[in-house]
Amino acid sequence: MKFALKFDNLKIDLKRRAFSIIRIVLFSVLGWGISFSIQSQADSFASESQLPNPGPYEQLCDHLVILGSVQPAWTPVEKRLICGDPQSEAWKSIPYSQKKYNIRNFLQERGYLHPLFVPPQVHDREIKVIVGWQTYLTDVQVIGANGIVDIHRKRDLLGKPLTPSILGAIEKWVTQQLQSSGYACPQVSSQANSSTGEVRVFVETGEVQNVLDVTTDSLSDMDSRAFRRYDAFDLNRPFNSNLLTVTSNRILQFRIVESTHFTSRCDSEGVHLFQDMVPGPPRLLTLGGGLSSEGVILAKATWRNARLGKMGSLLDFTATGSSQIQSLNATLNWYFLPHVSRYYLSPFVQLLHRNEINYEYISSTARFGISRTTDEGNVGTILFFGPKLDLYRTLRGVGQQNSKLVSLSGSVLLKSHAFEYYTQNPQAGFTLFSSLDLNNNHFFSDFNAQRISVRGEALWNFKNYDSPLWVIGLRGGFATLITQLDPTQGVLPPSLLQYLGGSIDIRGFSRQELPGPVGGISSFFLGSEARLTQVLPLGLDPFLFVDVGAIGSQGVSFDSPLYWSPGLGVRWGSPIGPFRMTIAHGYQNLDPAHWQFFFSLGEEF
Amino acid sequence: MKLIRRILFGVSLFLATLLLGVLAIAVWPQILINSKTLEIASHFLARKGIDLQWKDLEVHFDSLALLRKRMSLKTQGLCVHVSDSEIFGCSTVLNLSVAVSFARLIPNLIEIGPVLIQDLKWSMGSGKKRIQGRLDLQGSPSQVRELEPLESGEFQLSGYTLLPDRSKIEVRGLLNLEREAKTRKLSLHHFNLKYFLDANFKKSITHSKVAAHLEGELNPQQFLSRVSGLASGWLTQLPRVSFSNCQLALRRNPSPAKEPARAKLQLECPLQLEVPVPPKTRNFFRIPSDLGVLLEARLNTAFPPSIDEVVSGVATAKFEPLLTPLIQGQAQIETHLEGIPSELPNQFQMEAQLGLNAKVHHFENLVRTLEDTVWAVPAPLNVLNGNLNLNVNGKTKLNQGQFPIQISSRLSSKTQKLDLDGLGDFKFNRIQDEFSPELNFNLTLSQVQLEIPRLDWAIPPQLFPDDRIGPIFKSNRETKLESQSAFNYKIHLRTPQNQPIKIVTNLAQAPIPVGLDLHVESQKPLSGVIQVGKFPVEVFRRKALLDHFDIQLAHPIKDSSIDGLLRVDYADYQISLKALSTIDKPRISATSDPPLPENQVYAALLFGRQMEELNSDQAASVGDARAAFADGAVSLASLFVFASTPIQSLGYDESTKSISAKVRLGEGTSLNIGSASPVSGAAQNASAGIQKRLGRFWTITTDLSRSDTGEGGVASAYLEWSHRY
Repeated sequence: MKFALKFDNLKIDLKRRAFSIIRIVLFSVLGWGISFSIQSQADSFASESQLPNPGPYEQLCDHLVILGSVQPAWTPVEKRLICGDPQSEAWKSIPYSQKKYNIRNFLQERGYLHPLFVPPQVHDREIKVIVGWQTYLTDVQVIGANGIVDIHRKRDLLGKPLTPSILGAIEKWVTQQLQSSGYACPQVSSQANSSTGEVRVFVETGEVQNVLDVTTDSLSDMDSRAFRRYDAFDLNRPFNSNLLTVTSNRILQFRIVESTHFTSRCDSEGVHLFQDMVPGPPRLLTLGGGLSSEGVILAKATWRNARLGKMGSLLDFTATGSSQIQSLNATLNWYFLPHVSRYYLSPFVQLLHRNEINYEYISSTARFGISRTTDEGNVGTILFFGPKLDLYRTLRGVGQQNSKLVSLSGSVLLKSHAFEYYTQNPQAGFTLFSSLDLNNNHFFSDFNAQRISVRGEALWNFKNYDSPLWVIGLRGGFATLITQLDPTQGVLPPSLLQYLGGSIDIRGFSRQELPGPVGGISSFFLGSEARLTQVLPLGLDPFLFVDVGAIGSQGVSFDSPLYWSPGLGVRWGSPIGPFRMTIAHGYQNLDPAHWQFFFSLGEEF
Repeated sequence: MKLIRRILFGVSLFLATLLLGVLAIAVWPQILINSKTLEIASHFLARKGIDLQWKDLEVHFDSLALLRKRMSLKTQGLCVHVSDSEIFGCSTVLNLSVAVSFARLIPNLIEIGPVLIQDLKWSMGSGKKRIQGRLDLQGSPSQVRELEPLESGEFQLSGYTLLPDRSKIEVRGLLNLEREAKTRKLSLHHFNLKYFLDANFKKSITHSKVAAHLEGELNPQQFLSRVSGLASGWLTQLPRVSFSNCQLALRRNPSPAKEPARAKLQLECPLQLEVPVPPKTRNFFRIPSDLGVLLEARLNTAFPPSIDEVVSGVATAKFEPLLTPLIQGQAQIETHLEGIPSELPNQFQMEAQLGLNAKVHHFENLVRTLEDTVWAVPAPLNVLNGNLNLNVNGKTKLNQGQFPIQISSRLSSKTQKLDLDGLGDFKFNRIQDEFSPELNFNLTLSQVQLEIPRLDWAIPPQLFPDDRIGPIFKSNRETKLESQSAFNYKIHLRTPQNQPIKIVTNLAQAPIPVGLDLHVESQKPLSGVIQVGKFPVEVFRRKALLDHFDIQLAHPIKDSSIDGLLRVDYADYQISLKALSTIDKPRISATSDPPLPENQVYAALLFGRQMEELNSDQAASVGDARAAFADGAVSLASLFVFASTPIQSLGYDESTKSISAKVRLGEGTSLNIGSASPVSGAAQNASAGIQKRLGRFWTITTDLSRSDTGEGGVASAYLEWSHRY
């Protein structure tokens, strides 16, 4: 049997409990009763005639009745501290004033800040506790961090029960905001008004502090300094806790180590970072399955040596298979320089079989070039430049049976740090990928087909709420061939032709449906989406979208019709990744086409 | 010569005439003092601001001897008004007889009386400062003999005075005057005054009052008085004081005439004090509302007493023993004083010796008595039996005092013991008007064993109120003012070196020894050291020894530094888990002997295996645990919980500093402990990385590689089985 319990703000609560245990010891010795006795005196006993309608009735223990609904229910330990513990000689009897003190604390933990107590009477020994109402957060003010922390961005605070744990969460959120703004070690405290539900957060930001150095665990098989190539942050620049997460994510993305984390320590000079590593063995065998776009079941097998050589080069063999695409990839990221560098040689070999509605082909690609990664400002970049050999064998559809292209290839991938930070729950940032393949039929190529493609995506968190209310997304792509050939000539292989349709571009059409069996030379698409988050129950986020695209039979030109598809969908952030379902209707200019339904796991806009 | 003779004759004639005039006045004083001359005098006085009027006035002289005359003045409706000092008096009847001797150059008063003043209504001042009253006086010499001066006289005095606040003083008395035998002079110093007075004083607004009956004797050699009375409503702390048969004797010391007269003052006065014990307390403690005190004094003072002369001696207050079923106690204050009262406190030395002893013989009775009150003794102390003692013995001066205080308890139950021994002193200093009390106290927890509540392996409930939540916001200044106090105290709380407090808990196999060395001081935060000593524990499914855990307290308490060491024995090595830094952010590091890589150490701790034997999920848990421990994200309480529970996996999100753990409760049962915040947000959603571990070998991986190439454009999630080797 498995069951799960959810504890509010575990860390902060546990700390408070740690103090509690120390205080138990101290107060037991010092006569802790003083504190609650004093409070007890201040309490006014309620007469039954004064009591509001209490609601449900619970006989918690002998001579103690709880009037009102307590959520969550009392825990066994709480019951023992209220009713006494028959199994403990010292705690078998709890006097009324102590019961009252404990109940008041337990109710405060749940946001019931105004309980009323009817003490035992001579004629009636029963204690009555009127739980009262929960106090809800009505306003939060941050004092001492003007212009740095905008608490109004925090969307789901107001209306929550005012509890110690929510104060802890607010303090934690404010701390995190400050730490992502360069204030590495701020002092944050809070006070709440139990009558009005107002909260004030007091902040001492300290100075903006720079990252001074990073100390990394040493690895036996790799120079740990090589991990610095994944840094999204810069030394001697202001501290930003989000960039530490981005850095860790990059390392984990490549499975270089099993686990890595940053911890930080402040001193008067700045921030010292410590990067812990659990390397694990360098070789990794992975077998996986999943759903890709269009709901196609995927299978994947990978063998990888993630720490090849002292500089941490990467060798990866991956086989993926679905009903439409099967591929074998061999990748090497070879950090060839004898010192830590962001330059690396990146040979890549791929064998691909693709079977789509309008075509089927086998291609093999071999690429060898030099790559470099950079992080400038808030953007990470991967640059590639090198020769590339593509061999195509068309099995079905237009295009000559065998063709060959030798190209000089270059690509740039830009990805904002925000986009990387919110990988699992996209809501901000952008990514842009562009590539250029240059070839010539006089240089080992069968024809001229200069290939240009740009593809990107940008997300905005409307009003920058946390958590977001509306996430607005915009994505688009443009691809074209500069060639004298016409697709209808049957020379160009289908892999070079442009097709649209599917969840990755125009969601009102089925995968690669457009423009038909003979693809285009140019294509563009532009999609926009507005997703409403964390409003519906069960974590369901509805969204609306419109995708537009067109295909041209000439380079850098587009023909009619204009394809467009409005639609709607729902996203569910499940524990195993985001599920998305969309339904959209395709149109060709104003002519309706058909309805299209997509379902995916792991896909994001 | 003739001229000289004429001048001498003239002077002789003038002197003879003057002598005859004086002789005539001495023989017939009515020549000078009669109703007509008095009327003329009243006109003269009126010009000086003294208005003197009467309805009827009669002056009569009797000749007692040639040069001794008695004047009898009888008036009706005599009124006097002194406009400058706003004095007014008006009596219905005023009869006064005095006898004067003209035997010497300066007339000498030899007799007073009879005197009759009826219904003298008088007032002084004006407006809010006006006081007024009424006086009746009647008296006559008890023995009147022709040609002999007055030997004694008795006067009845009665009247009242209304003060500006309408308070009223009533006086009734009998004055008995006697002539001093040797000097034959009639003056206050030579008379023996026997008196009795009934005085009443009331303040109508506050209902404060004093009622006293005095009687006694005053003469140049002694002042004897017996006083009984009652004072109430003057002090909240002492609502009523009654005294009965207070004996005050002031006897002059024999001394040469040239030296200042001194006297011995003896006081013996039993007092009954009403103690303002709240009714509930009085009922519960059965404390009598009246407290008997015997005041005694032996003083040397000036005669007659003067506040400008030196006073010295001893005064003692003996309190009646308090004997109630719950509390027994007794107290005595002995005061040595010397100095000039008018210059108090500067030139006045006063030293008081205070002795107080109180005992609670049966603590369990006290527990029972208080059970249903707001002062109930809380668990786990309410099961203790035994006694409590309090002793205060000390000395105090006017400007400074010191009272050694001693307390002790000998309490026990089946599983608990509470033996406290406290020694300290209460001091005060007064510099001008500034009074600075100070308490220095050493409380030794001689032998203490306490049981804390039975807890589960779960998050303990909130045992103390969160002071961040309150009915009002407090500014920093208000908080500081609250913490400031005129009372300075230093309390040193400690345990003997080899006798720590033993904390009994179901979470540990043996009592946890806790040593304390704490300093509780006014206007300073709690400081000192809490030391948890060695005790065996079972952590990470192994027997271990907590070597020490020291907390050096700081302000705020979360910044207190910690130093802890836990040793876990394995077959080939010993792992030491060190906790350093602060309570709020404990940095926990693991080392081993012989040295192993830190990951290996955590692997052994969490899973009892070597790192190489761990699957990917467990290896990642090791990394997460390391980071969480090093980052101070694992509180001491959660460490205790984690260490005591078989962990299946542990996750740490460094961006949100939140941890999550999956612990095995039993065969096939696991518990997920998450750190879901009550408020969600991007920070919570960012998650720790792009991989989400599901189990031993399984992960959900968000594949970004496709978007990197630009060929797919969207990310995909894979459910992956992975194995490192």
